[in-house]
Amino acid sequence: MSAAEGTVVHAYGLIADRPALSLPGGVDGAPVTIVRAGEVSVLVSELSAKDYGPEVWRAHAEDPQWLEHVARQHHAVLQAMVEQTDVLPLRLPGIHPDVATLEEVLGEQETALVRALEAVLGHVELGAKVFLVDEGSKPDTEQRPTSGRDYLARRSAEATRREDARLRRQSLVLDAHESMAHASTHAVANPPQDPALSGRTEPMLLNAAYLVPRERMDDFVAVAEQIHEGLAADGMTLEVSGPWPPYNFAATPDDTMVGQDG
Amino acid sequence: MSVEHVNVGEDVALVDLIDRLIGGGVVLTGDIVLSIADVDLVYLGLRLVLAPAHVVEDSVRLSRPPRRLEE
Repeated sequence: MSAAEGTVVHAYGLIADRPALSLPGGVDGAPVTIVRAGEVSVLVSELSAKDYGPEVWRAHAEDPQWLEHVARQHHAVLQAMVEQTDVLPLRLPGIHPDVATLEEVLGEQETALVRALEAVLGHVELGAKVFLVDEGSKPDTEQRPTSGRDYLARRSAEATRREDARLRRQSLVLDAHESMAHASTHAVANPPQDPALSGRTEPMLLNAAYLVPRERMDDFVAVAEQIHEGLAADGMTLEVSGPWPPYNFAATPDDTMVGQDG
Repeated sequence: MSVEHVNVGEDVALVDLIDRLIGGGVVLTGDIVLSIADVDLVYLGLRLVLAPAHVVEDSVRLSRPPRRLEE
């Protein structure tokens, strides 16, 4: 298969090849096909260089609408695949000049890519976030302070109560992460999302991802539900999302090689 | 609580998607965009998808370092 004039190849991700896969539509409805090189199978679409060539990417590198358009379609393909087979997401931009060049690159990195795919075989990613929805009731303030000393004592007691509650929540969240990590193969805690990005005003106390064996998803959810009930008493909620393609567990070939002794 | 099934279409929370696409996924060498455009610029662009200008700088600084598979 040689590239037609004026096209580039967009690579979505590696898959554990299975017969009878139903391939979704790709970017702008372009057909998604499978390129095989050695033991590696990659999902690709041939796109017009006029719309998705390197110069276009450069021109739109800071264009939110354009990037969102590509990101959503890139994700949609990976999401459709993770519901059928195991998939290793490739990072955006992911543009290659033609299939022959891509095959060459895949061949050069075959060992590392196979290893990276093997690390997620049989797994999906589940996301978990903990939000603080209720900071707890204020102490009884019906009685006015009887003196300046009393006022200061109350202030100090309130500060202590808040700090104790904060430390308690911190410990509960760490326990929750540990329990979910225990129910998964790998776990990663990411920085909490900025409220300006998420649109959520409640403080986010945990933003984690877990690599979970497909057959243990129900177990993971059962653990999460138990945690959720436990956190409620301290004004927190747990939200689980997924199954996602394992974005958080797709190590680069270099990372994988470095991480082998771990 | 129930596990929210991530939708394939427009319903995926953009912030969750961006959260995963920035720094997530395997990099193939030979990517012709990476060779001409600073990839950080693309990720800054992805942040811009949602962020008011004043938070972008912090978000980029806080975005996670490259990860390894081991914990």
